[in-house]
Amino acid sequence: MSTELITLLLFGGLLFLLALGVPVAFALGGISVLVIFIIGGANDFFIVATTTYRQITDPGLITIPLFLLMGNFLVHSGISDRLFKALNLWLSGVRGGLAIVSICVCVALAMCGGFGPGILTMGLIAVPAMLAGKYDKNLALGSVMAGGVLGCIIPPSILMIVFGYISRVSIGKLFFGGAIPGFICAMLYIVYIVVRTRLKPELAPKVTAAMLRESNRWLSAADILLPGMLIILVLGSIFLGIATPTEAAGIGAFGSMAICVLYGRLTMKVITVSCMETMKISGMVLWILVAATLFGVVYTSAGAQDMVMSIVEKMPVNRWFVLFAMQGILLLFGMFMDDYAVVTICAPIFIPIAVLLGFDSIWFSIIFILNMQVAYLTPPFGWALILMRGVAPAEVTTRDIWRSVPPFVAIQLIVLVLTMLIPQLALWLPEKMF
Amino acid sequence: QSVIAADKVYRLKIQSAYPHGDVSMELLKQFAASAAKRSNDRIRISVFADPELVPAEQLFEATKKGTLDMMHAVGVMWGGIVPVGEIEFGLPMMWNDPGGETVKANSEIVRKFFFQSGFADLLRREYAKQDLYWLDMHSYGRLFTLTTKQFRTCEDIKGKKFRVEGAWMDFYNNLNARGTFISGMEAYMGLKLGTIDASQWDVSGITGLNWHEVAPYNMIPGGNDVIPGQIVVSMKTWKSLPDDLKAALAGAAEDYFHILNDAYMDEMKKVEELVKAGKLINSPLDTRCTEMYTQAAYQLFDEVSERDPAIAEAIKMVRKWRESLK
Amino acid sequence: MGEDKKTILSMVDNITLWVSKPVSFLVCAMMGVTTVEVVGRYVFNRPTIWAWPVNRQLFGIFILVAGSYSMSRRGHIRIELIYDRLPKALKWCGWFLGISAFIGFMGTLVWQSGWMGINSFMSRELLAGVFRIPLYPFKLLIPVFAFLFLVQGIAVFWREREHLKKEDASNHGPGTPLV
Ligand code: NA
Ligand code: NA
Repeated sequence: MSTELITLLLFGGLLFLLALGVPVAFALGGISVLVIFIIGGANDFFIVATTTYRQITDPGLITIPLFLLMGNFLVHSGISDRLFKALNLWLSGVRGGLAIVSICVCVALAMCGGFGPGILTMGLIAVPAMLAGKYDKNLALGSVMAGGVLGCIIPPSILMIVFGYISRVSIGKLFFGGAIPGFICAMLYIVYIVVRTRLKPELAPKVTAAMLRESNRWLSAADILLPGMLIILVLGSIFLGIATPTEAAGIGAFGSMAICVLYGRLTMKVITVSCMETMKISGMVLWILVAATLFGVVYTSAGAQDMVMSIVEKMPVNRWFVLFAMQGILLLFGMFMDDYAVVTICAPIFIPIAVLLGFDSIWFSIIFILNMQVAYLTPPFGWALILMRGVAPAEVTTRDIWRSVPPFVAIQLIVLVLTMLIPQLALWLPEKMF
Repeated sequence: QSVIAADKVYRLKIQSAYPHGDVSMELLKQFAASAAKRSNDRIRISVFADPELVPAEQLFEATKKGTLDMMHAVGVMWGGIVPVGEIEFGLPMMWNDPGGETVKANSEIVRKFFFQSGFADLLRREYAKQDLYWLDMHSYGRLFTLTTKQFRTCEDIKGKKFRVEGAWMDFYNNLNARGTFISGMEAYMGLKLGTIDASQWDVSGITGLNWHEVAPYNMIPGGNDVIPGQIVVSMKTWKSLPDDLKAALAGAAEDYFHILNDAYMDEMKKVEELVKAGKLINSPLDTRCTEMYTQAAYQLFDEVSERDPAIAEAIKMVRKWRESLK
Repeated sequence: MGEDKKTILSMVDNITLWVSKPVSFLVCAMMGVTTVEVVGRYVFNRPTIWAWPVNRQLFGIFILVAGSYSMSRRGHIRIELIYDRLPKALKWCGWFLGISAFIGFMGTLVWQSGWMGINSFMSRELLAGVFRIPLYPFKLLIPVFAFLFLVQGIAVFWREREHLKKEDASNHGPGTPLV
């Protein structure tokens, strides 16, 4: 069977199964098993076991349950409720304040590098608070998801280390290269929220005067301070060299438990409910990750690289055309595959070609990663969408989640194009620093 | 042999323990080319990088089961199943200073030892117990230990955190340092922020992972001059090959050994350039500490020998060979 | 649905819940182990050799059981966007493809990880590296918990089938979503 046909079978089959309501994990897993059988026979089924083993013992993925535990402790002890009530009072003058704070927290958590800490924690604690505050669903969901995926472009980022290795460029330079585009994204998200809520104030109602009178601002300050320390604890442990980004997730969970103790809220019930909730969400996220990885492995073993290579080779030699076409392929793959799978398939081919065409490899790596940031948000398969589905309250539907995405993807694409047109956005800081 | 057998094309899959971008992984394509050439195109090898088909950790099982026909890895990864793999990879000082002038000459000396002392036969015997055929060794050049601060004495090393693997952890603990585990991908950050003080890898820790940016000191001695790697074949696949193709595959593995040596000579040139530019600083330990280092290594030989009869036998061979070097 | 069928289905749910409760606490254990490693390394300059090998196995068991638990709580995400508007026949088609995909995927995992576990047991596999504890108990647990996941999944699909049937009979109203 040709790779083109397998591509059609994999992507088309996935779309079909998803449309018919098959759970994402089993749609990915089932179609992968079928294709393994078609191209390799029963002997190759072993990769189902090896891929699963790898994912369920990957130290890097332990951050997922640990960040979830951190969030769940805060939610089920009632501390996050108090936190957001207090925040609401303090931000009463700023329209859309909670969404802006969420993005800022996401930026801070992006510096942990791990797997979606922003979405996992903010989705658990900030989204319910915004919905309770009558925020527009699109605004609440979109800002947390867009903020959460900043983790791959704001350093440190595992993806950048992978790129540094493949393209033999300085990882430090890549880190600095991602910083400016990343912060521009964050800034534009905030600008978007401010402008949008100015134009349509009902999207983010301000705290009413009645509520303001009820509580004392200063008394509630403690409710912000302690949980706020948590972010400092997590980031501090990384930047003081105390913990690796992976370990920082554990420290964060431990810190949130300590805060529960300080508030006198750590009951057996809180612990049990937090652990069970963490288990439910991790089960759902990790099994999609297992199946998505298998999907990528199958596609690679079916010769995806050779196919992509031959597509690129057939293109006209105009370097800008090739560049844009590559971005198009990435956008398309990003809709169906895990970003890591896309990188595994495309980076080893694209980077040498880009260099051959005379593009700067750091700049190219950064726009590649910006593109992967888009992939997190594009349906049908986008990590941010899946994580949000896992942590958001029950009243949020998949439709709500998908509908909240377009403005933020548009901003990501704008930054992507800006960085393509003005390479200095990615190159100025690394050149300055080294 | 029948005409049909003589025409049969064998399509084999090999996967490396290393990802795209790794020198030794990329050069496996030349191994495949050589096998094709030597077999008149009757052996066609598809090359995969980590983790394209199976994750590196599972290469052993996947090859044993026949999902892969061959794997490209290092023996230390399988130390929990084939204990002698730890010796094949090398304990500290085991493949150090074999007497050659260059990385290339050193690996040739060690390969000679593998095949002339019965060491390779021992490995074949042990891997055969797991339905695997140990085909050949190759070398990833020198093992580097990059440190964030300059260490001159054993006092300097005390309490410092070394990111190393396998028996090297015991070794650094014996030297009063601290063997530490953090994942390879987090090593750069770890060095930068001081979570660890040193990290060990082959030359691609410098030319690929750029650790020297954050840990510019190259500790000497900090490892072995030769890092033996392996190409191991599924026994079922190996037995299915006619003799002339077995010979072709073995020849291709030997070609690969030489190709890789040349490639690592080039990598070493890049390292020398970094040294010249002052971006990498060679930093020898003082005589006393070097002695202690060697002592600790030989002590480890004894400790590890107790684990397994095949290990004991292998270490005996190595010791005899090292005696003959002097 | 027959009474004995109901009994079997609720028995499966109970087994999953009974396993899940204690296993869910492993996430606290992982937190503890990570904290011990960080404090040990930073405060006492004594990194452990066991923290990450232990954490990896705890994580593995946690995730395997989490799969079944998510299933029993209907937590596995699906995209209901189009599904809700599908005609009955296509919903049945989706049900059939769903259970086939699930059994294909999970059944293969049980079978192949079974080989992996037995193979590891036969060679009495130890963890490679410096913390040399036996690895085979963990590898033997993988097919066991994967099997639990498989059974729990089939039970959930079976309930969904009953719902679809009821929907067929009543011929109106939306179906209860599977997950
Ligand atoms: Na990051
Ligand atoms: Na996507």
